[in-house]
Amino acid sequence: MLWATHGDVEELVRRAQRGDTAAMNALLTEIAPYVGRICGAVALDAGDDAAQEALVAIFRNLPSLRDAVALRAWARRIAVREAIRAAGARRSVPVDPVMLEAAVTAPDLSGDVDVRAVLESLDPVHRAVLVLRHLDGLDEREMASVLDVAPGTVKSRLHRARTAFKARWSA
Amino acid sequence: MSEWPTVELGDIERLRVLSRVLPGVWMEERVLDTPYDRVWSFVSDLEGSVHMFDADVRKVRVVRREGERLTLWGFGSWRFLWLPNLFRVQLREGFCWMSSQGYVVGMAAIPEGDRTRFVHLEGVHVRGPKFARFLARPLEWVSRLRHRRHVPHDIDGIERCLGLRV
Repeated sequence: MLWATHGDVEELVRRAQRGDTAAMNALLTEIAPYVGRICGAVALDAGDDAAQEALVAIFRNLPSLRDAVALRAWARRIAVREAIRAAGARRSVPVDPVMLEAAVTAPDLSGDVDVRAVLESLDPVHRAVLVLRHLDGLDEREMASVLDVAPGTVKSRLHRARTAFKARWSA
Repeated sequence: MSEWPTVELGDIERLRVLSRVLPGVWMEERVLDTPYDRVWSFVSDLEGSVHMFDADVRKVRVVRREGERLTLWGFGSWRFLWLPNLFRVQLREGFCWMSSQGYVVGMAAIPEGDRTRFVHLEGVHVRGPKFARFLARPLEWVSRLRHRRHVPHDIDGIERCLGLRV
């Protein structure tokens, strides 16, 4: 399991930061499934490219990670951004708090739901919200932080987006 | 409920990622015109194969084996003054990762029909404190340039050993 042995992962991070390539290879084994789940669900067909780009970014910047314990949150942030970028979303697309709320209050994925079809009908940034909620159970504040949400976006537009989002979700 | 889409990192993709992270290595990818089993049974016999296809290696001796974890000595050719290099190795089906204090080698293979996609990565990578690695960066750049020729030669050697090239 990826995060079952936090102590080991932290040690791997420290060794990898010193340039130990055996540790880098082992850390790649640990972190790739998590990055793959984020990129696969957010970037869909571009998921392979997104996952590779995310992993490259993670390992290139690993020396700058001060707290090895924060690896998961740090990797999540990079993976989400690379996935959204790979999916063709504009970089500065803001995600509204209302949209975040919609994701949080959306029905659970139970019953006969084609997850991929639902995801395909959504914008990448909205997929990211769902993935963060589903995979990590992040609350609105945490998701806003990962996605760099700027609060105070125009409410009418947000309301329309939420309505469309819920309609697709329950369709 | 259907499964959430996910991406699995294959061994070839793993080497692609590592090659982009390590500035002193060069990676080459080639499709070999022979079945996977033949390729992997040859290259995974490290003691029997490496000195056959890599002109920089005189011999390889495995000193410890625990499952897919190996410890081995690689002895350089005369060009490297026959110097030994101690490697920690992960060797499993389709994937091999060898790392020493200053050198790294990676190999991966997957079947492609009756042929084999083979990836080979090799080069200098200095580990240690940030400052030491900064000072070693020019050495890694030189290594990358050198291995740009060396790695394809290694794959040529594998093809020769497998009878795919004269």
